[in-house]
Amino acid sequence: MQIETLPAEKQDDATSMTLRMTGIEKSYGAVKALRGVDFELRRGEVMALLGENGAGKSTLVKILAGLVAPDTGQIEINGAVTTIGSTTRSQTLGIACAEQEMSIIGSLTVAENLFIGGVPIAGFWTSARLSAAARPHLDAVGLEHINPSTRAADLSVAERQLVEIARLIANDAKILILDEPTAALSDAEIELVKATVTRLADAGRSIIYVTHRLGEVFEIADRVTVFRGGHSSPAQEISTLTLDSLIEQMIGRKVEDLYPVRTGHSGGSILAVRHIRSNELAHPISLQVREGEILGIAGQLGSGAGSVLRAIAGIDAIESGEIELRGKTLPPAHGLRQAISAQIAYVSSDRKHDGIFADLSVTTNMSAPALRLISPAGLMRHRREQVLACSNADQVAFSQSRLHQRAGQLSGGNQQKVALGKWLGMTPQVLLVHEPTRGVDVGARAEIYRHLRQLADNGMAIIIASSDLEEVHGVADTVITMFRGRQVRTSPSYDITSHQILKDITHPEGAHA
Amino acid sequence: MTSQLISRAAQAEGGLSPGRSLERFLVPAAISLVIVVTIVVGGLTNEAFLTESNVLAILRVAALTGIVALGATFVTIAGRFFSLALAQTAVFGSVAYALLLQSGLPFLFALGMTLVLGVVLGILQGVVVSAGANPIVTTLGAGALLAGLAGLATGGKSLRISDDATAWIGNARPFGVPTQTWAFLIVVVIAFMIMRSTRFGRAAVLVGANRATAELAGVPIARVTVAVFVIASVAATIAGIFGAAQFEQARMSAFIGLDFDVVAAVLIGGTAIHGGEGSPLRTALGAIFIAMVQNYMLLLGWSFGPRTLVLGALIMLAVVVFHMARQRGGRS
Repeated sequence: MQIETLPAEKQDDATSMTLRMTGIEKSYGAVKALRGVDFELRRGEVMALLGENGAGKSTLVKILAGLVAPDTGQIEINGAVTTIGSTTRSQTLGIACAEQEMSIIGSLTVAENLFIGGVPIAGFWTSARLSAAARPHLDAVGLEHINPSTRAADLSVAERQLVEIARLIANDAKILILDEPTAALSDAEIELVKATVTRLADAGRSIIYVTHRLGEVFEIADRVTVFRGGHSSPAQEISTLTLDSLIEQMIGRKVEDLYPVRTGHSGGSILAVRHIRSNELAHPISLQVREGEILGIAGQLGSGAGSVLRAIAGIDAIESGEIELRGKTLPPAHGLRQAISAQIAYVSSDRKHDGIFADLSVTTNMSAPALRLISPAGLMRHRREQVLACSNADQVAFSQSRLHQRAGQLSGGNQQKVALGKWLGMTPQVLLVHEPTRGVDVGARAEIYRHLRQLADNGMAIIIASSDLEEVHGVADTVITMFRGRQVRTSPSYDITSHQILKDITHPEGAHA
Repeated sequence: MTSQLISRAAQAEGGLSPGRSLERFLVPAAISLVIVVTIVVGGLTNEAFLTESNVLAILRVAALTGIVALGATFVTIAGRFFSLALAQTAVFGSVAYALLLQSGLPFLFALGMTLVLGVVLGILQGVVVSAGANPIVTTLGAGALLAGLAGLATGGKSLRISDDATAWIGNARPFGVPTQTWAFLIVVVIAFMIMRSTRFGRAAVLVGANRATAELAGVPIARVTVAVFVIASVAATIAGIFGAAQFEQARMSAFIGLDFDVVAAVLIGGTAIHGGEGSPLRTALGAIFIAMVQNYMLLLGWSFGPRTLVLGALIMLAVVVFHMARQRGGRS
């Protein structure tokens, strides 16, 4: 990176470049994670770090955090060549990283969480003094309304994420690395985090913002660095980019279309849900899915979109209403195992928690819901299991040479294929998928949409529930919008705009604010 | 289509990841090697170690520890950590067996009744645990209860058994090998087959690997949990009957230290403490190894302190080595 590439107003300030990394290489054994990467960060800018899973983003983050040392390359901080090498050294240099998995401890107060790395008060400290010390840091991240002595467990997910960021500021970090800070948040909560990020940048801190949500990038980032296959692009001003050009850079080919073509031939009704209520669904929900149809339920966290799937899957108890499968009414209190034997499959939104067996092989994962099929009379037929796993893998284009790998070693996209593919052995009639592409990169996302469409074309009835409204609009034939446990609208997707969906799921007409 | 799939399936089966092949082949090989080294070193340094009577004694001890440890392996694989009621279950089983014989019941009937008792004890603990109770706490409580019951029933005295069939079970050597060892061999084969070839064995692995995922996949968690506790409880009861038969009496003070040896055998066998991974074969090798080391130290005349110290060090070593191996396997 030469100084000439900088905009004129930045040139006078020699220290405006906070961080510069050149020629960074890093291998894990035979695997080259980074193959000569350049990266730079100015004071007070938000730099978006983009790339598919496995592109090398997380390795770069780990180098900055001092968790791994680069094999070659040079790191300059404020113009001085330095090495990082350890987490304490990284801290001293003013670098701090907010974890993707949040590390806020619910049983401690907000202030205690802030100072978990060390209390900044000499000698004797009381909870009052601790709270007073926490105040400015909370204000800096837009948590003016939070009392520092509240227990962290009482905060919303977004607020906890902000406390996590405040902790970095309490450690006086100048370079903040935020790794998918909005992954678990709903649209309204994301606004809060984005506003905070912009504010911190305006206050002179530099932010490396790792995300899969490309929409966010255009709203808050100043510049973008794209990683692909261990290489990095030069930093690009956001104004020079479009969404399509960004996606192309990430996946290295043209995006014809993220969403598959609707074939539009759907058959008879498979599943009819009439006026069901559950613990999380205060208002009755009705819907119908036909053979070959994809129904999309759009709604934010807490809207009840996922609860509808869980009620149908027999996980949440249904309090009233009925569910009819191919003209036959399911028993009113049908449980999960009854739903499975009725060939209703449910893929949860949190695959690491309850979607895959991370420590077991993909084959074992693939056969788990269909154990009965491969163990007649209770005896395992290993050959039959292999055949089943291969056939499932084929249907989601999962490479058979990786069937022996542990599911936890796979990328997010491949893990999602396993979470989805494992159900195909029992030939489901109804497939329920909650957040089909959470934590899945753009390339794999298009692939998962294509597989869903293919499964529908083969006669399955599919319901997806998602907080990503573009996804619902792009994939589903019929869209249902939900807001706070209430069904707002049911409409064919060609009859509704993204804008209308957004309005429905954030503030529908007639909703109490 | 199908034949194509099968041929590709065969290919896929051929390639094992480093982590997997390590668990499956390297670990048993390593434990076997350590056992052979122990035999050679023990035989060279102590002339009493490889005598016929001593080898038989080792095999007998290894058999009892091993049978119970094989049962316990299922509890651990299914993600329920350990049962801490196993020694007490063995004592309770031996006392119940002695009392049933004393009351004049025929041998086979007493044997059957005692095993049924073992099944019931397992069901009770399994039901409590699958209702959500912590397995360690549950079995700790159950163990105290059983010890208390056994104490009440015997009044603290040992119960004598005089029964020919029982004496045969305790001390016979068909083909020169103690009955306990035969039983151990049979239990190893059964446990191996259950883990490898039954739906239940696979279900136990799934439940241990990730209970939430297993539940959503429709695996009957409660049934599996009850079943693993039944297996552990019955295994302990069998050990209790063998112990009573060998000494022709049931004593409260029998099986002291059994819990520790069982946990050690399971851990040295490399079963993952959090569940989802483990092998009966490796547990059996672990039990044999521990019995050999214990015996060797006794022959050297070591007191309780150094013996326990060595065993503790071995467990620590095994746990650390397996932990590091798993991390390596997981990262590659």
